[in-house]
Amino acid sequence: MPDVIANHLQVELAIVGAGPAGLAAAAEASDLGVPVTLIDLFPRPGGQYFKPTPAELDGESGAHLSPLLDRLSQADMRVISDTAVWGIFPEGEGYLLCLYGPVGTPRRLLARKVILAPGAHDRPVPFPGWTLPGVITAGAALTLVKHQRLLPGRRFLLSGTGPLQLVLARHLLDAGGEVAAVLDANPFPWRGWRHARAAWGQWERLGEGWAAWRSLRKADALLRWGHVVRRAEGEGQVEQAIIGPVDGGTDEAVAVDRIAVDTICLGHGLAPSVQLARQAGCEHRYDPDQRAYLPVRDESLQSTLPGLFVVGDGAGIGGKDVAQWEGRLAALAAAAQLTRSVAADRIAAVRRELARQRRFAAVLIDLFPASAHLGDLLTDDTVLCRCEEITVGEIRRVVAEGAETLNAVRMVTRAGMGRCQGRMCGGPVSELLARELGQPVEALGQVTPRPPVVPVPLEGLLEEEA
Amino acid sequence: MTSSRLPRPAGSPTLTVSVDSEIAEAHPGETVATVLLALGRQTFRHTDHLHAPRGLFCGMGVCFDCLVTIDGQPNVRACMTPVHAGMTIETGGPSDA
Repeated sequence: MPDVIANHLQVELAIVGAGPAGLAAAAEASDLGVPVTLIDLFPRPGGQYFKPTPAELDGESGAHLSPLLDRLSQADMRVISDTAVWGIFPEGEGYLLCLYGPVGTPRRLLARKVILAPGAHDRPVPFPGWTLPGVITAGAALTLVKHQRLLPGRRFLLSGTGPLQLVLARHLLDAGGEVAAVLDANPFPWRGWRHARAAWGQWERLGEGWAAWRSLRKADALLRWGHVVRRAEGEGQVEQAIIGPVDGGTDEAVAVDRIAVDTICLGHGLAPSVQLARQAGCEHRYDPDQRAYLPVRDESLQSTLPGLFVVGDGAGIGGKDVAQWEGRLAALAAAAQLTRSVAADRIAAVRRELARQRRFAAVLIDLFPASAHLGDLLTDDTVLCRCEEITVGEIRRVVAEGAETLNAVRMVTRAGMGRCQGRMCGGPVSELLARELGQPVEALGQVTPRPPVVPVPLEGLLEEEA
Repeated sequence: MTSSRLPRPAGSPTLTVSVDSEIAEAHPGETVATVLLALGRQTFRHTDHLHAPRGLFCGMGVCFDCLVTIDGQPNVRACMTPVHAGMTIETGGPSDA
């Protein structure tokens, strides 16, 4: 349909995602004279790290989140906000992007080069009661307190791993909340001293962690390592949590405590949003450290599809600084492919800074690794797939009946076929299956996301608005 | 879970919306999820199959748990939708207040 294609918006470089990685990629590309089209799911650019607080809710919201955001008003940058990219398909020497946004948003976009910077979401770790209202992700809690200026409860339990939990705890305390306990699934990071060299110079981050730690001690919060929330209970909402060691078997076999809270915040780190890169056909490999499939990339962060780059947390969790330098590196490579002249010393400088930031990110992954999906805690009636309400018991049953791959489990149970397209249950289902079969996750095959990778009304799939 | 708004800047404007046919006050810039939570409602809907209560979970548009009906359009994510004056919000769950 060349004549139809000819009507599509055609661009040199499309960047999907306006968080740190996408914004930095846009700035770098623009520096080299490449006009940029930036597509973002949210009403305002910034992603999760540079998320703006609405001016009406916070008098200080003119505050500078990032100089990268100021660049977006440049003439050579076009931002398409509030818009989902639901599919990517190779088309000629570039890619066809399928968009769905507010009235007037282009539905199709042809890009010669594409940089995917889709970011990440809180890594879901199921346990009995995790669907009760009052159980929210750490990311949700942080967004509510910081950007909506709402304290989402009175008495909080934080369960998960890593320093971000401390940051959240401090925000909750500052907002007048009561933090009953902070549980970290990992043991105390004694090995931290080994990483002194990589952490050297990261004063701002180390200082933030230390300050958070001190305010928690002052607030008399219970701090426990190697512990998690094992169960949430309540009539229609969270009323109490049963907490205890990560492993060791049933509640009867280990020492558990009951603790009255109204809100449980889950902060088990982040899971990369790989759906779009997977749907596009980029090869992915399982990373046992991050417990996630990550896109295979060359040294310029190009995926296995030529001219399609994947950067930032969506390609492997590294945080906002790794994300920005990855965005810049990919933009340099994309610009070179678009026949702009790129200075070799700029590439070298970006690579150096990226390597430095990756060393620090690696420390966090070493000290606070992604925990398993807590198989010991899952009861047969625990809902694993929140969308389709598929329980652990149903998955165990189809495994007993002979299912040996993720695709087989998905076909029979519909787990992962709901609105979230497996973003919530994909990891937990694969780890449960691996556990039941006694096999590594890598042996179970992958489920290929099909377009649309996000829910879009039927009318929204059309090339033109109806 | 009783949620509470932190202080708004002095002179911050308000607007009114309708939540399950009752009038409620909100602030521009708030999402539908914030308005519901501030009203003490944390059950936004009940699931089709198990009729289990659900509310806000991921808070960033990924999990699709916080679905409500907004201005007649069903299955809209409360966490991703800013309020506007006169908005009609219908939840699928009774008030917890």
